[in-house]
Amino acid sequence: MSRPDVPLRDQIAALLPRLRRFARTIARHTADADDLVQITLERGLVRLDQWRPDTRLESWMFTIMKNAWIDEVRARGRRARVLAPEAAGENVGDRSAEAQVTAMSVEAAMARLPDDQRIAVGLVLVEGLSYKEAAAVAEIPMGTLTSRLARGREALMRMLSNGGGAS
Amino acid sequence: MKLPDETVMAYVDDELDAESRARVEAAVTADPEIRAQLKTQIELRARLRASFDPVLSEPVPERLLQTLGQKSTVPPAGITDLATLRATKQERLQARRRWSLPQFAALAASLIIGVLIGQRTLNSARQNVLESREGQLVASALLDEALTRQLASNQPDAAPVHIGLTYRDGSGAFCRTFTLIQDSAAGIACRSGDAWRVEMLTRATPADSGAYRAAASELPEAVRRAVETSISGEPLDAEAERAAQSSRWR
Repeated sequence: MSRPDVPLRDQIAALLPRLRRFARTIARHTADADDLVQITLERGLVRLDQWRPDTRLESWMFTIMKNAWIDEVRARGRRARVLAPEAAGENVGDRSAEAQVTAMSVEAAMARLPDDQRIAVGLVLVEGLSYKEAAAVAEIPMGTLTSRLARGREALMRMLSNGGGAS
Repeated sequence: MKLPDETVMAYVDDELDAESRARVEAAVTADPEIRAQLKTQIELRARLRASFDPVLSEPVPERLLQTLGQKSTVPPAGITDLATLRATKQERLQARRRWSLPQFAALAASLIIGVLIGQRTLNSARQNVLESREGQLVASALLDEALTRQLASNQPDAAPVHIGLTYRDGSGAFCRTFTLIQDSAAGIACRSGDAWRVEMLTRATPADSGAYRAAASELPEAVRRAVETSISGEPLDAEAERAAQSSRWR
């Protein structure tokens, strides 16, 4: 959706709240989320000429962010192997003890999902993209998207219903 | 009986074709177990939104704006963004189906409509007129304000929310119909504790949105029907409405 009357940078600036939200859903820690947005903006700006108006700008930015996150995860994996292992509980979320007694917080539950499921859940359930759009952003076939989405939802419901009674 | 989970998920994600959708709606009406199944999915979606949506209203860190070469005077609350989002919304309205609300109005779980439509239209325009609280969809910001303070007998022409009927439902709670002028949406909210629980929300005819009077005086069919099924007694007149308001809708 091209809006030739508004410069592309301004359109991206207007998307910042949504980019930050998507970053919050895919980066496990809040503190990492804005760094991820920052990297996404930097990468996007270098490639502005590659954006095509037949792609929604937000979808395009989401794809850049998804790739930036995957790169970051790989880089961390390398660092972790080379340097001392990071705290084993890194991915467990911040509120572990209390959260496990009662129901887990949504953020903590999201943080426990594998990256691919978290991306699918973030795109469809939080960002409201259609399956087709979400599959395009994630650069996977639609069947893969829907199965990741289903597995993500099932895992979330299991975690969120702990202490909440019904399963 | 249960439906396959994938079907229920696809329904909640608005990804079914008309025929499958009708089958799900019929099954939901007929079977409490399927209703529970659907409710679980809707609540998960609502909880996710409730957890991550607050980011949208946080101020954007300066360094991100600087990366884009923006002065700190980014369009406050995204003016260009709203225009973009509205265009997107129009696109979607055209591309996607209209919800078949008469069937929905029959559902006890009418919360469903609010959550689904709310996500697709209102939240995307960042009106923040709805929020999810303890698994319930309640009015917030200007909608809460209007429902609490505005009298149908005396409302400003420029008010973003128009209040229609006020009545009591079967449980004795006060309910009010409302129209969100800018969003071309109308619905019903009922008092629950200190909040207004949104019972239903549907689209008002977009053509009405410009013509304020028309949009205000004519409630969508689905809302009228839902009022008819839930009302106990008669709608409040102006005097009773004022009395209810001064007793804080208790």
